[in-house]
Amino acid sequence: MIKLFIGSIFISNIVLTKFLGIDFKDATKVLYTSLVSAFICIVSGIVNYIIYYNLLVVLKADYLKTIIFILSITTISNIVILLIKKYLTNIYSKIEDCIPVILTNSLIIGISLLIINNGYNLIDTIVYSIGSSIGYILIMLLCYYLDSELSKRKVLGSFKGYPILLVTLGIICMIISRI
Amino acid sequence: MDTIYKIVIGISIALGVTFTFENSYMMGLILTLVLLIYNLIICLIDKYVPVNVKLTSYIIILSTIVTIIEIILKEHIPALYSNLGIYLPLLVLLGYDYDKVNTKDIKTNIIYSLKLGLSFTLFLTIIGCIREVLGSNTLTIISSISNLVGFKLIYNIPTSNILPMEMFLTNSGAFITVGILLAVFNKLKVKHD
Repeated sequence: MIKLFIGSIFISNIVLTKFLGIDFKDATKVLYTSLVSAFICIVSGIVNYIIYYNLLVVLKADYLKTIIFILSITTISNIVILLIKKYLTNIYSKIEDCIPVILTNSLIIGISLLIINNGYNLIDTIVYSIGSSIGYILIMLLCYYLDSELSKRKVLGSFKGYPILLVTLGIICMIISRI
Repeated sequence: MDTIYKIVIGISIALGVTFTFENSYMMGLILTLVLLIYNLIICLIDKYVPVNVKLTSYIIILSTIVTIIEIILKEHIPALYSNLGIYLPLLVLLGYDYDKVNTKDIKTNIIYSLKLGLSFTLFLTIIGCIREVLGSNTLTIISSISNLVGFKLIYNIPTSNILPMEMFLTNSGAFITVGILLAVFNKLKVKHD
């Protein structure tokens, strides 16, 4: 189980192939949006596991999983954002512009589907979702700092902004996946 | 070139599916089909749906279309379904900024969805072609749908000292090719203006 935990933090082919990010100008904004996404991911991973194995398998309706997962993820994310809006207003004022990024994150659906494809049990899903969401936070912070460093250096004209970030991420992914 | 910004949103599909040429153009064609059906249905329904229910009902419509296509693929072309893996349900997420699409007219909707889908297909096929030719020295045009069509069409390129570079089949090669392609598109856009 420890192996699963450590492996899911550094597993780059989960996080790096499923991240969906727009880069911001502010470190706290990046941190808070990724924290909220990570929290939604953990909660919805567990909830989707419970829904799948207690409702869909009992009714033999395996084909409905995309619809049900997407509905549950949108409701959970909307509830979380409304709760943050009411009780933690200083955080909400920071993440207010980036709500569409949180709502259409492909990480959460990917993790729910991967949990079912790999056939984990309950404790494995908790460990896996916590691990990959921590990995997601690290990768988003890494992208932000890479972006701010790369914008200071001399870059060729057409590579500025997004393309050079992708190329450097590719090189980092090459290094990580050889471990 | 407006599609580049939509492509940035759909980049997880572009990175995960394009390790063979055939996967990429099949994914693009499936995407255009989904977009066509979805835009047609929305354009016809849009007047009669109350405003509170619109967002969730459009999400449910899009996910049922994707589920139907998934079931058809799983039944008849299981090789393609196992190649596409879990990137097929991610097509649902590309519909999130489409519930504000122009819903005035059937003809403009069809043209819009065809334009978007075919440009995305073009982008995916360029990535898939580069990654497969450099990664493994084949170019598969029809291999997974061979039980429907009846034949396979695979081109082999002779190996040399540099040619099968396995880096391009992995995720890191995907990042690098997409980055270089976006830079090329930026250069073309600057020249065009």
